[in-house]
Amino acid sequence: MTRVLLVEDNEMNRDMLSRRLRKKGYEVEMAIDGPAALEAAKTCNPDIVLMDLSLPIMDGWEVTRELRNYPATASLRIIALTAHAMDGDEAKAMEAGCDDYDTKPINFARLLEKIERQLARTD
Amino acid sequence: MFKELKERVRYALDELFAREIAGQVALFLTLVGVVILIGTTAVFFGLFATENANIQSIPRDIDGGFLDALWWSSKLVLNLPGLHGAYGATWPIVVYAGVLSFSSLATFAILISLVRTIIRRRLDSLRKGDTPVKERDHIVLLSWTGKTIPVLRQIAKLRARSKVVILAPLQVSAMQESLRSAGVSRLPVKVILRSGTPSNVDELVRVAAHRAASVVVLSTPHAGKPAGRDSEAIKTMMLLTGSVDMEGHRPTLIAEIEDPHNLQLASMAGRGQFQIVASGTVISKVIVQCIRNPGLSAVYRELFEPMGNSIYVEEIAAERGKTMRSIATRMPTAVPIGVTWSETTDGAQRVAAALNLEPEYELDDDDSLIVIAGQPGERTVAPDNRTEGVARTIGSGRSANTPRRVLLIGWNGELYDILAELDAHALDDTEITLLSVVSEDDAAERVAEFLDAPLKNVTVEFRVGNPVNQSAYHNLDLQDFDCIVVLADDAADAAEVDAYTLRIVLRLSDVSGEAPAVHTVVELTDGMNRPLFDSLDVTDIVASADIVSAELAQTARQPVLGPVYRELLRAGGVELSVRPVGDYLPGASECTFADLVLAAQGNLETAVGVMVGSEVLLNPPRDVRRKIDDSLQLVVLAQQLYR
Repeated sequence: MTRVLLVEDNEMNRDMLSRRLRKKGYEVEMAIDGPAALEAAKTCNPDIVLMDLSLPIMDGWEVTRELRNYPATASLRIIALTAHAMDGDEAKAMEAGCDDYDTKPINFARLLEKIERQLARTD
Repeated sequence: MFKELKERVRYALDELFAREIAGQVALFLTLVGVVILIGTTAVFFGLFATENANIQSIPRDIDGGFLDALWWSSKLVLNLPGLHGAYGATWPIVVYAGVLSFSSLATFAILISLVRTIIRRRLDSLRKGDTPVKERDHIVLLSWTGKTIPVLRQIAKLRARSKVVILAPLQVSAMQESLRSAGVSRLPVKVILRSGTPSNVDELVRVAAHRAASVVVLSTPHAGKPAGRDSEAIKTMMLLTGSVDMEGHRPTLIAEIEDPHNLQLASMAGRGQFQIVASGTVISKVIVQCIRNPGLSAVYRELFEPMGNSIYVEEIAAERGKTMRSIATRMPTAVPIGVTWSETTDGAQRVAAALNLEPEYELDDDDSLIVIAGQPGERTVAPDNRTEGVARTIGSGRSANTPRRVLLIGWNGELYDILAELDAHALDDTEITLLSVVSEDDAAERVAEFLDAPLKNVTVEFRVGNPVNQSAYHNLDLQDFDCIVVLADDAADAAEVDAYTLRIVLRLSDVSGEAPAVHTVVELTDGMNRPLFDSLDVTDIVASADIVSAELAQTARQPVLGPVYRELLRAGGVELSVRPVGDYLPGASECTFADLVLAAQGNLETAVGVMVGSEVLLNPPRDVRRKIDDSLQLVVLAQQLYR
């Protein structure tokens, strides 16, 4: 079963996304802030990370950079989720090490496509 | 002479009474003796005259003189039946009879005194609120704060004839007086008052918290001691989740936490069983929303005013499998805004919710619909055989107004959250001017200490001055600001905060003169003071106690709405917003609400109503055509976008 690490501080987004992912057959682990995300990525061995960028304590960009610097998580698939609306945010996420980028409010069908695309990558 | 005698007698009596029991007994015996002696003088007025010879009650057998007169007088004064029966007996028997009769009288007096004491204690106990509460399925309000009365008002409106038990460390008479002066006694709610400390297990049992439908823990203000904020509430939460035997009952537990820094501790204390209302965060969020959405406070007022439209959860089994777009276009009397469901997390059942779902979301088998409607009840949903309109996508990244210059007046605990939230939404060159009595150094130090992260997008200029005085506005052109916010200032006396705010707004009006009014947001501690501002140029009034009380009361009424209010009233996530209708239907000259529902869906937003000028119409009729101009705005639920 594909394991997704959902990093999201917003209770409602976390509840809805995890529920819909589980109904689609994914196993979902969750983290609510940056340090918890780093810990979970190292211990629960996820196949893909859905990373909210606005996180308390340590933001999503910083967590992504940390994950890329750590050998065991350096090749993790990471999709950034953000409510940031400024031009250049996508480039900023990619620069931090994200593999893809999606904006909130989440369009679940579009997000599923992005998840499947990342999981299908062979590199 | 007479006056002096009177004063001497009064003094002697005072002295006797001052000696308590001994003095009063002495007075009693003296009085009895004097009156009996006066009675014996009847002998000089013909007590034993032949005209009275036939009177049976006048004894004559001892000496027919003074002793018989003394007996007759004693009998009348003391009224002792036993003594009367011993007339003519030997002296020891007479003495015995007297003592026994007197003892019988004393015994009876003691009995009366005992009954009186018991009744008085019982009444005192009732007056003080010491007796255990025997209610069931009631609402328990713990602690007495500025939010107690607004919560009671909300409960009375939400569910008439509710029974509310208040436990607070105050005299019941003081609470009764506050309720009376606030007009609560006329509301359709039964209030039972108990005096005691909420952070005490026995007291919680005494108010039957374990049999209640809901228990609401209010955060007690800690005057001048920020470190003590929420301490009592957290202690009470610990007791309710760990020490009080709930006997298998699961009341809805709700707690107010003022300081956002205490939220984590409160979550630990609540052991996942509490719905926590972060009151400081709620207020700062609403204030910032009003800064970015002029007029939004009226939407909140309509939403939280139970007589108007409110949020409800409804089961519509027939609509399962249908999309949100389909349901929204076929519900004539309610606006669907999201879904709620139950799930089990770590072995505990919990309610989850989601708002502003994409139009393609299909209602799941375990979903209930969250709607905005005039009243709860079964909804009529039109048959699914009509052609759906087509949502128009009009681009993404739309957001509410983002002011570039904001004047914040006053200082309170919410200021830090307001600054952080403004920073999150700010454009690059946003300037905030902060006018308060706090010195510049102190202000900068406090902001640095209490902000979780440094401000990135805004610059803050601190100005020192009393905002009530004209001199504070020297070299300050109010017209330079996009928005002015007057906070409920901590510098004012607690009971006078709103009056202080009124004086500041009056001063702003004076300083502005004839210039056009600037968008002004005012925070009030008591919504009842709203009429004071009716004639002033105030765009938004945020009544902090009312909003928090509404969240507390509505969550107590419908626990499933807890996550909904948390989402609407917290930073991040989905928010209510007011936006020009012209942005949604460019080029159109008129529209119906049904058109706007589809247009908003195209933008992944949920239309919940319109504003016509300052009038809020939530869940309006779908087919009424309205002219599109600057006065027509759309109220939407939308993803909060950050800069």
